[in-house]
Amino acid sequence: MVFWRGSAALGGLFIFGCGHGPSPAAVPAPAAPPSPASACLIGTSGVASPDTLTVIAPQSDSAAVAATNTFDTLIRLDCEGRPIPGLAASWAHDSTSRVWTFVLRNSTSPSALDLATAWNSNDSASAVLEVSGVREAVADDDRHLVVTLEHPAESVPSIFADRTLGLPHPNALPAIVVHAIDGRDPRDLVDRGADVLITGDPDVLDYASRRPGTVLAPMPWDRVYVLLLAPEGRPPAELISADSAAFRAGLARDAVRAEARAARPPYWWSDLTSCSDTAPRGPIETGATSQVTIGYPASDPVARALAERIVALGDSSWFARGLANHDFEIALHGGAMDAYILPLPRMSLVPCRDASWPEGATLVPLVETRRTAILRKDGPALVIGGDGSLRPDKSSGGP
Amino acid sequence: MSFRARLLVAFGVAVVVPLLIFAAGVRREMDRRLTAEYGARVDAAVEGVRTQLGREGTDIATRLGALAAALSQDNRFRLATQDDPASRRYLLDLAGNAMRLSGLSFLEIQDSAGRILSSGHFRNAFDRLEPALPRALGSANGPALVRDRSATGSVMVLARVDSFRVAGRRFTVAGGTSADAFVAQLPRTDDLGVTLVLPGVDSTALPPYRHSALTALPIPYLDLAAGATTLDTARLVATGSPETLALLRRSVVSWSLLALAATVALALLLAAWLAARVNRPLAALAEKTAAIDLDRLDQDFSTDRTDEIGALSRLLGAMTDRVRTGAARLRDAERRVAMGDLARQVNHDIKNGLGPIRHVLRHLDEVARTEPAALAGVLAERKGTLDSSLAYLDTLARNYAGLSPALRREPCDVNAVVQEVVSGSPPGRVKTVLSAGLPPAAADRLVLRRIVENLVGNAVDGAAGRAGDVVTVSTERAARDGEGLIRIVVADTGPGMSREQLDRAFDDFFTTKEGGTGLGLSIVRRLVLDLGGALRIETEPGAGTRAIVDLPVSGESPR
Repeated sequence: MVFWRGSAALGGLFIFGCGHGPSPAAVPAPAAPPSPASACLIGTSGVASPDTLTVIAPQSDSAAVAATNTFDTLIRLDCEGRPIPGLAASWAHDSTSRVWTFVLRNSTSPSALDLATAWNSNDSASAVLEVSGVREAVADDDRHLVVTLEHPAESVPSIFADRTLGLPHPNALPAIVVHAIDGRDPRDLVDRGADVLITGDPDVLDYASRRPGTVLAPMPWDRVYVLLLAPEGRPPAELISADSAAFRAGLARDAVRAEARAARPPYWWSDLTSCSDTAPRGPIETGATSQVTIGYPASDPVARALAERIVALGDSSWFARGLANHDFEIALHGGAMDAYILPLPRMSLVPCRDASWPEGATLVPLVETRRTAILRKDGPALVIGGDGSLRPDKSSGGP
Repeated sequence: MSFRARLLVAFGVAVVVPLLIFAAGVRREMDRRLTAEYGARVDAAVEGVRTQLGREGTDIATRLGALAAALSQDNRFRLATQDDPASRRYLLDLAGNAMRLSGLSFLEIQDSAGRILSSGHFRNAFDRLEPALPRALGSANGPALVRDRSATGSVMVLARVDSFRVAGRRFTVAGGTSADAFVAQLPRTDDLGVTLVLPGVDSTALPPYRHSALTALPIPYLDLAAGATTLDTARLVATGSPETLALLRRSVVSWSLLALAATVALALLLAAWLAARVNRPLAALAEKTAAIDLDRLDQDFSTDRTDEIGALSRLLGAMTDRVRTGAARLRDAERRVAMGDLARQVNHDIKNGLGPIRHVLRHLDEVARTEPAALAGVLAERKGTLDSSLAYLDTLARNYAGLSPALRREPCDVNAVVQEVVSGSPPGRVKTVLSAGLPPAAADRLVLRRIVENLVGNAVDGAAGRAGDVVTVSTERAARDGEGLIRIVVADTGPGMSREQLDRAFDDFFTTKEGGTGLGLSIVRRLVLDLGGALRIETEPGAGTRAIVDLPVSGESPR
C-alpha cells in the first residue's frame, strides 16, 4: 500500500520534518514549462475577461465545462494534450526519472503541503495515484512537491492534470455559469447572445456561421466512439470486418451528423495489461436470442447514428436499441446485447480508471468527434483545455 | 292416474308447449334478423374501408407527386446526384426532412438502380440496394402494404411510389403512412372491427371476438424486412363479433326458461288449487256415500255451496232421504210381512196346540154321552195330552212374548254379562278375551244377556260335534265416525255360512239346525237395533262365523 492511504496531513508533516524523500539538492533545475499551443486560444484576443461567463453546453459536456476555473491542478493539458503550468509553474526530474519535483507558483494560495494533504485525505485521489503508479508525494517546502513514481517517466505524467487531484478554487474569475441545452433549440440561445455555446449540431453551426456576431472555434477532438463486441457475441466476425479505414471514413462522413473523422491510433486502451489487476472489470454476457442487438446510449445522437448505420449494413436480424444512460451501464455490464456503441474520451489521464467496460470485450474504434464553441465576437479570449475546459486567456490582460 | 294428477299434467302441457313454441320462434326470428343486420354492417364496413383505403392512397400519391416535383427542381439534390461532396449530407437528410414536412411516416428516394439515396424512416440505410420496393409498388394498382426494416425493427406502412427525372436520370420516391395508424383510425365498435391479417397468419389465431371473419378486403403486401421481392396479399378483415348475438340468444333463452318456469309453477299451483277445490268436496261426498247402508242412512249432505258440487251433494242428500224413507217402508213392510207370518205361525201353532185339546174334549164329550162312568178314567188317561198341549201353548206364548221385550238403557258392564253367560255354557267350549277398563255400555242388562246368550248359543250349536272347535267371546273398545263403541265379538270355528244362508240369516224362522226356531238372530238383531247398536256377521263356508255387536257407550247418545 502506498503511504498516503490512511495517513493524515500530520503524517505528511512528519515525513517532511524528518527529512525523508528525495533531496532537493539532487533535483536538477526546473526547465521552462511549455506554453499552450496557439490553436488552443479561441475568441477575440485582447478583450478583457468578464466576471461571469455563461456557457451553454450539451449535457454530456456540462461536467467538464462546469469544472472550469473551479479546480486547480498541478499541471494542465492544452488542447493538444501537452502539459502546461497549473499550480506548478515548473517541474523537473532526477537522474532516475522516478523522482519529480514540482515548483509551485509564488502567487498561488495552496502550498505544496496543502496539495499533499488533500491527496492523502481523499480516497478518490489516493486511488487515482495508486493505479497510476505514484508511490509517494511529499511536500518539501511550501513551494516544492516531490513525487516518487514506481517506474521512470521521461515526461511529466499527465495524471497530475486529472481533476481528481485538483484543489477547489471557487473564487476564480470569471465565474463559469453552465447551462445544459436540455432539448431547447440551441439556435435560440445563439440568438440570445450566450457567451459560449458548445455544440456539434451541424444545423446550429451552419446557422451560427451565418450570423455576423459570432465566431466558431473548433474544440479538440475529445471523443472516440468504439464498437464494443462481447467476447461471445454474434456475429463478431462481420462486425469486426467493418474495422477498415474506408468504413470508418464513411461513417464519419455520412452516418454521423456531427463533425467527425475516422478514429486515429494510438488508443489509450491499447495497453491496459499493467492495470488489469486493479480495474473493476467483469466478464460480459450476451443475449440469448437469434437477433443481434447493438446497444447505444439514447442521449447520444452520434452513438445512435453509428449503431443504425451498422444495423443498416447487417441483415434483418440486426437491431439497434437505445438505452438511457443508467440502463446502458446495466446492459453493458449485465449482458443481453451483442455489441455496444461506446463513447470514450479520446485521451485518458487515468486509463485504468476509465477502462470501465467488461473484461474480454473487443473494442473497434470507429470515429472521433469534436464540438465547436460558438462565441460572441465581442467576447473574451479563452484557452481550451485538453479536458474540454475553458479558461480565460491570462495573456490577454484579464483579471 | 288420479284426477289431480291428470289436472296437473293437463295444465303443464297446455302451458309449456305453447310457451316453448313461442320462445323458439322468437329466438329463430331474432337470430335471422341479427345475422342479416350484422352482414349488412360488415358489408358497409368493408365498403367504408375500401373507400378510406382509396382515399389514403390518393392522399399519399398527391404528397409524393408534390415531393417529386419539388425534388426535380431542387438544385442541391441535383448537385448531390452528381456526387457533390458538399451536398452529400443534405441528400442523406433530405428524405427525413421531406418525410416530416409531408406528414408521411415512410419515405425513400432511390436511383434507377434501386440504390437508396436517402431514407426518411431509416436515415443510415443509404446506399443499400432495394430495387424491389419501387418495382412492386409500381405494379400495385393503388396503395400497397409494405413492411420495411428500420434501425430498431421494422415499420409497416401503406405506400405508393412516384418517379421524377433530374439531369436525365430517373429517380423514384416511395412513401407512405403508418398502416397501424390507418387501421386504428378506421371506425370500429365493440362488436365490429377491422383487423389487418398478414399472409401466413391464420385468422383463427386472432383474438376470440374476431373469429367470425365475414368479409376481407385484399391488399397487396411486400415484406421487404423478410427479404421478399414480390407482392403477396394481405387482408383487411372486417369482422363482426358473435358476442352480441350470442348474448342476445342467451338472454332470450334465459328469459324464456324463466318465464317457462314461472308459468309452469303458477300453472301447477293453480291446478293443485283447482284440484283441491274440486277433489276435496268430492272425496268428502264419496266418503259419506261409502258410509251409507240401510243401517246408516243418517249421513248429512246439506251444504251451502251453489256450484255443481253443492247440487251433487244436495242430490245425494235427497237420494239418501229417499233411501231412508224407502228403507223405513221396507222395514215396515218387512215387519208387516213378519207379523203376518207370525200371525199365521201363531195361528198355525195355536191350531196345532188346540188340535189335541179339541180331540181330547171331543173324546171326553163322546165318553160323557156314551159312557159317563168311564169319563174319569178317560180324563185321567187323556190328561197328559192336555197338559202337553197347554205346556206347548205356554211355551209358545212365552216365546212370542220374547219378540218384543221392554227396554231400559242404563250403564251396563258388558264384561260381567259376558262372564255370566259363559259361566252357564258347557265347560271348555267357550273362552273369553275381555278388554280391561272397558267403559259401561248403554243397555238393558237383560236384553244384553239375551243378545249374548243367543249369539253364544248359536255359536256353540254351530260348532257342536266338531272336535277342537272353540267359541271365543271378546270385548273391546271401538269407534266409528268418531263415536265410541263397545264391541262384542262372538267367533266360532264352525262350518260357517254360504252367501245365501247369510242373506237369510236375519229372517225370522230361518234356521239351519234341527229343532231351531229360526228366531234367534232375528231377535238378536232387533234387540241390538233397539239398543242403538249394530250387528254384522262375517262368515265364509268352512272358516267359521264372527258375530260383531257394536253398542253405544253409556253417556254418549247414539246417533
